[in-house]
Order: sequence, then structure tokens, then C-alpha cells
Amino acid sequence: MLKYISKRVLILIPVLLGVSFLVFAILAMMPADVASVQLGVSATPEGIEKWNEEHGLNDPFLKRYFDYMGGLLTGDPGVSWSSNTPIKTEFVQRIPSTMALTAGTIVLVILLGVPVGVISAIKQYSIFDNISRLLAMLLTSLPAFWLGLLLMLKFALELDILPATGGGSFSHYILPWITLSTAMAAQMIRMTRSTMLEVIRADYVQTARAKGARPVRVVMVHELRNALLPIITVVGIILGQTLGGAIVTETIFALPGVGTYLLQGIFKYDMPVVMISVLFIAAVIGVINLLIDILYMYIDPRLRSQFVKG
Amino acid sequence: MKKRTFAKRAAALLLGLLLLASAAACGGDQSGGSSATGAGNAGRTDVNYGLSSDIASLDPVYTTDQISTILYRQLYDTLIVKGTDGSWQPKLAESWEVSDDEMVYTFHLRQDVKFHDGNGMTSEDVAYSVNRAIESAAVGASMTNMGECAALDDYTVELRMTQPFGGVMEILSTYGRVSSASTTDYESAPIGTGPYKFVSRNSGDNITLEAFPDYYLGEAAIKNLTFKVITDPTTQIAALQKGEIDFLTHCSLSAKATVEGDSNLVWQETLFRGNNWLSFCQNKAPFDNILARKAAQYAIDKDAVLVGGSEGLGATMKTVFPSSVPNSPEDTYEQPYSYDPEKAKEYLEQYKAEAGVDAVSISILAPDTPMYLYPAITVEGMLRDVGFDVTTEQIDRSTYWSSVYAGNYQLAVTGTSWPVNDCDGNYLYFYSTSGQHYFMAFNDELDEYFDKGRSITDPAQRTEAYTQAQEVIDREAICVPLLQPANAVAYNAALKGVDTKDDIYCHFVYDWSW
Repeated sequence: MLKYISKRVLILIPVLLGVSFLVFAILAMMPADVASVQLGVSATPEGIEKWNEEHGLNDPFLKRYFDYMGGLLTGDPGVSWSSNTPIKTEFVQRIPSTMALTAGTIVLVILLGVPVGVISAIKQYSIFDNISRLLAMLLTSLPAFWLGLLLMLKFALELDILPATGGGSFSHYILPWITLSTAMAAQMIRMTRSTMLEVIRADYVQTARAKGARPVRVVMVHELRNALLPIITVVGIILGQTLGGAIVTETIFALPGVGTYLLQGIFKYDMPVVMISVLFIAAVIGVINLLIDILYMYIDPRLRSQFVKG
Repeated sequence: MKKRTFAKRAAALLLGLLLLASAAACGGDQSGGSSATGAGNAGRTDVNYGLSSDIASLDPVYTTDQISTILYRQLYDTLIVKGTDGSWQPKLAESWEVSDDEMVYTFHLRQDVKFHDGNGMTSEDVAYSVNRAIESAAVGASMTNMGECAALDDYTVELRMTQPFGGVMEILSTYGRVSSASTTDYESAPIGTGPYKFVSRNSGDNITLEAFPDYYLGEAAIKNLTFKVITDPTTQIAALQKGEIDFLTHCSLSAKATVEGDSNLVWQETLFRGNNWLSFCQNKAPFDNILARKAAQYAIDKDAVLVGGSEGLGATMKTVFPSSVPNSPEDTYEQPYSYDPEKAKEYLEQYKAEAGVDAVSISILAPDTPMYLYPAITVEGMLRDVGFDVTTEQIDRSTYWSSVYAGNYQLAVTGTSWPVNDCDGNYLYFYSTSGQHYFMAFNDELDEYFDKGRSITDPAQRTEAYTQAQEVIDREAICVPLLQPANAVAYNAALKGVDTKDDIYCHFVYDWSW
């Protein structure tokens, strides 16, 4: 078991290295003249040359990459090209906000998606099922930027019960959570419903019923537990989407998170900022998927048995 | 049984539709709420200042970025400042003299000025700050003809020129921001003499300043000044209406109706200190030929470009020098071209005959920034109307500027902002050997007039030189001056003392009160 986990952790390393190399290469291949972008309208050729020299842009590509990675691995992600500030301080400030946004969204998605999906499946073709399916369809089609603005106009401006912008307190996150989780929750409902429907028809469920198990027990123990594997897989996928969706949601609600940091980095062609943000997102997704794999084994004895000796 | 299922389904459908309707209803009710502004502002001593993007840096010479400039204004003072009548007024410098050959500027400093760290300001600090600007990669190029600044005694500094220049005072009132020579870290502990001192910065979110109690002109009325970064235009207006911010800079022009419709808010428009023009790259066909350039000149309806490019707000331009820049020929200049599609077609036919081609296909390069993208889209249609085969190629802004500077384009809407308010700012683009001469026009006569404008100091003669430069630009059809867009701020109507005339990044929160 431990061996399996450590193997998975080790696989993460080449994945992250691969991501870092790819992103670095793409940024290096962009035909833009970085120095003139950073220095603005009145930069001189000498100023541009000096800037390039100071930031190592005259070095060959591989040397730049290894210099950057060397710094990163020793805990120094460098200095932002556009603001000349150490990225470490700026970036660390941005993590809590994105973490709160993502974690809250995932919790909401599970709390909303799983029960609704389960009930929909059990009461297939009931009025509840029909409404929830319609809702799911509707919610998946709502673009986040539109829904976010609408919620803001209603709850922050008209009803004046929630703040419109910024982070910091619980209430600041309510609207972003709803905005971001809506489409994902819809996805969750549909996934839960379809896996549950498959499980419901399985022989072991029939057996459990025939043996006289109470309906709640049948649902919770025999059905849901067996439907959990695909559901958890979806959680992993949704997390990736949430980190991507955070860029839009953070921009709308002016949340100072990793998403807006990445966007700002892209606009200003700020290589160190883009690198650290992308690597962070890749690392989080990697770690979460690892956790999900481990979770599989707790849920599914068949998988676990592969790692038990004897 | 079957009937009941149908009824259930119908009910479900209805419920769904109801939900959709209520969602739509929310959407239609945008302007309803504006509750937090208005009453309850009396006696406030704080201001939340909305910024449309994060600042680049707190270092006064690291960038020419406008948003950062707004912050510099509060943190750092300059030696001199322009009065409402356009004359130079003392600020950190009490008085000054200029030598007869205009090669040496001597400034006598106030002796009662304190830095935010409590130390008194001396000539060492001033000389250090000015020299730092001269050496800066970002603003150094704007410190035209300045050699070095030296301290003569504790409260006297001397600025030595390498050649006389007419815009010295303009430059000093912009980039002569004084910071302490003992500053160790500009980003986390900037030390200026301004009315506000730095408290904290949360990247991408806010920057907090507080009134400096020992400010030499007296402590500011607004004690706590918080800058909040909100990038989305719709969110900016929502935050303003809700009272989460009191003042919004670089307001989206499309928000005009919403802001003007809210009695708690004020909409204030000024001309942007910047302008754009349609550039032809002369290193390749068809615009290596003046006939093609002239065809495009006559094809452009500037009034329509203003509507398409800046919501009709702002001003069309005859020259490449906005009238707000001192010594600009804009107000008196008579432009040789007018909007005349028939003439444009004639020139295009002449070009086709001379070049021996049947069709002229061109591509307009455009970035993702509205100031350049929207006019480019408008221009595309006009050129098509007179017979050009036009496509617009939109790319990211970094690649866009690099391509333009490298001469890798045919046609592009470019332009400039005027960090230093002097006609010499255009030297960078129009002078043959400057690094950013992206027209590839290389005209000796044009260089001569820009040299003249740079070396003489008499205002009337400078206007004359820049008029002559514009005449060459028009004769050779180097570019088409388009427009000076409008800039807008929106703020809480209860806020007093807001400057109504200057550029939007010149606001001094020191003058404000509730």
C-alpha cells in the first residue's frame, strides 16, 4: 500500500517537470518582445538591452530553463517581470483565496449533486427526477460570467445582503461559491444519477432487497457505496474545472486569487508569474488525483486486496 | 395512471420555466439598487479608490503605467507643480533659477519637508531621486538631455543639461518624484514625502495608505486611503453603486448611462492624455507607395472612427500632437486630407495601375486592447468601401507591439500616451534612428524638425517646428491622426474637492473630503 502511494508520488515529479518544461517552452516561443512590453511606451533600445541582460533573456533557452528551475527548486520562484516584486510573497498571499473558493465549491457540489442525483435515480421519472434533470440541463448551460453578474446584481446591489467584491470574510465567498458550483453541481447530479441507475439494477441490490434489508440501508450501503467510484472520479475532474473556472469567477468578484494572478501574468507576459501559477494548479490537481486514487482503495476492497500480502 | 405521469411531467416543465423566468427577471432589474451611497457619508475620513487593474510597482521610476502613477501621486511629491493657469508653482522646491544658456537649473528646496520615516528631506535625496530617474530603463528615455543632478549644499540642487531642452519643467513635474536616498526596498517600504504613507499591499486586491501626520502642508482630511483592484467593468460599477468603492478611475465608457442615471454618482469625462493614429509600414507593398497611403488617408471618416473607437466620446485629431500637450500645433493646424471616398478610389486606381495589380489585399494588425482594437475594426470597413481587400488580424498585445516595433505589419492602429506632457514625446516614433520608428519612413526633413523642437526652448518656435513636422507627416502620408479618446472617472456625489479638469491619473486625494 505504502509502496503504491510512494510510487504515485514519484510519478508526480516527472509530470510536473514535463508541465514546467512545456509551459516554459511555449512562453519562450512567443514572438513578443518582453522587454518593450515591460518597460512601456518610452523605453529606449539601450534600456531594452539592459533589461534583457538583467533578466537573462540573452542566454540560450536551456540555460534559462535550468536557471529558473534551479531557483524554483531551492524555494525561490524569482521576481515578477511586470512588478519587480518577489513572487513568493505575492503568490503566497493569493493561495488562501483560491483554496477557499475551490474547497467551498467542491463541498457545495457534493452536498447538492450527490443527494439530488441519488433521489433522482431512486425515483426515476418522478416529478422530482424531471425537475432535477431539467435544472441540471439548465444550470450546465449557464455561463459563469453571466450567472455571477446576475447574482451580484440581485443579492449585492438590489437586496444588499451580500458584498459584491473582494475577499476576506465568509460572506464574500457565498456568491462566488454559488457561481462556480452551479455548472459543476449539474454535472454531478447527472453523473450520480446515471451511475446509481446502473447499480440499482445490479443483482446484489436485488439480493439485498430480497433478503429484506431496509430501503435506506439498500440505498446507502449497497447502492451508493458501489456508485461512489465513478462519483469520486468526477470530483477529481470537477476540481480541475474549478481551478480553471476560478479565473473567471475571481475576475468577476474581484477576488485576489491564483486565477487572477495567472490572467494578469498572461496579459503582461510575465513569465515567472505564469509559470508559478500553472505549476501550482498542476500540482494541486496532481495531488488531489493521488488522494482520490488512495480513496478508491478504502472504498473498494477489490482494489485494496491487490496490495495486501498473502 | 398514464394521465397522472403526464400531469407530473407538465408540472415539472412549468416549474422549470418559472425558474427561468425569475432568473430573467433578475436580469432586467439592474439599475434598481443603489442604497449604500448617498446618506451616511458625512464625517467619513476614509476613501476606497477603485483601480481598473493592479499597480505594476511602488517604485517611482520603475514604470510609466498610469495606474501606478495614480499611487505615486499620493506617495511622492515633485519639486514643482503646474498651477491651474499653466504656470510653474513651487512644491518641494521653494524657488529656482535657470542659467542664461539654459544648461543649468538650480533649485532651492524647502527646509521643513519630512520623509515618511521621520527624517528631513535634503538635497542628497533630491539628487539621488532625479539621477535614479535619469538612469531608469523605463523612464530614462523621457529625461531628455538631462546629464546629472548634484547637491550643492543641504538645500540646493543643480540639474545639469547635456543640451538645452524646452520641456525640463514638464519632465520634473512628472518624473521628479522624490524618494528617500535611504530607501532599501521600494516595493515593501517606499519612503516618500507625499501626503500619504504606505501601510500594506495585498497583491491583486488592495493597497492601503494612511495620511502622513507630518506632511509639510498639513495632514490630509482623508485619513485612510484604500485602493481596491477590480478588473471587470460591470463589477466596478456594481461596487461603486453599492458603496464598496467611492471613486473609480478608468471607468468603462459604456457605463456612462448607468452612472449618469444614478443620482448618488457623478460621471466625469476628460480627454485621455494620449492619442492614436493609423500607421502604414513603408517597408513592403502596398504602403511603400504613397498612392496607396493617400488612398487610405482619404478613405477614413474620423468622426465615425470616434464613434466606433471611443463611443463617440473624446475628440478627432488633425495632428499627432494632442491639444492638451503644450506647444501642440493641433488647434491651429489645417489638415490637407478630408473624408472623400471618391478621391480614395481614384488614388487606389492610380496605385493599381502603377503597381500593375488587379486587387490590393491588406491586413490590419490589432491587439486585444480596446483603445487600438475598436478603431481598427471601424477602419477596416472604411478601407473596404473604397476598394481595398481588408482583413483584420487580432493578436495578443505583447506580440502585437513586438510585431509593430519590428516593422512586421502592413497597417495598424497605434498611438501613444504622454507620460511627459511635451511634444518631444513623439520623437521616439517619428525620428529615423530612434528605436521605435515603426513607420519605416526614414525622412531626413522630419528628423530635422524633431531635432529643432528638441533643441529650442521658445514656445512659439517649438509650435512652429512641430507644425512643420506635421506638414511633412501629411505630405508623405506617414500616418493618419485619428482621435484622442475620452477617459472617465465615476465617484460618489458626496465626495468633495475632486479635480474636474486634469487627466484622470492626476487626482490628489489630499484635496478631497466628505
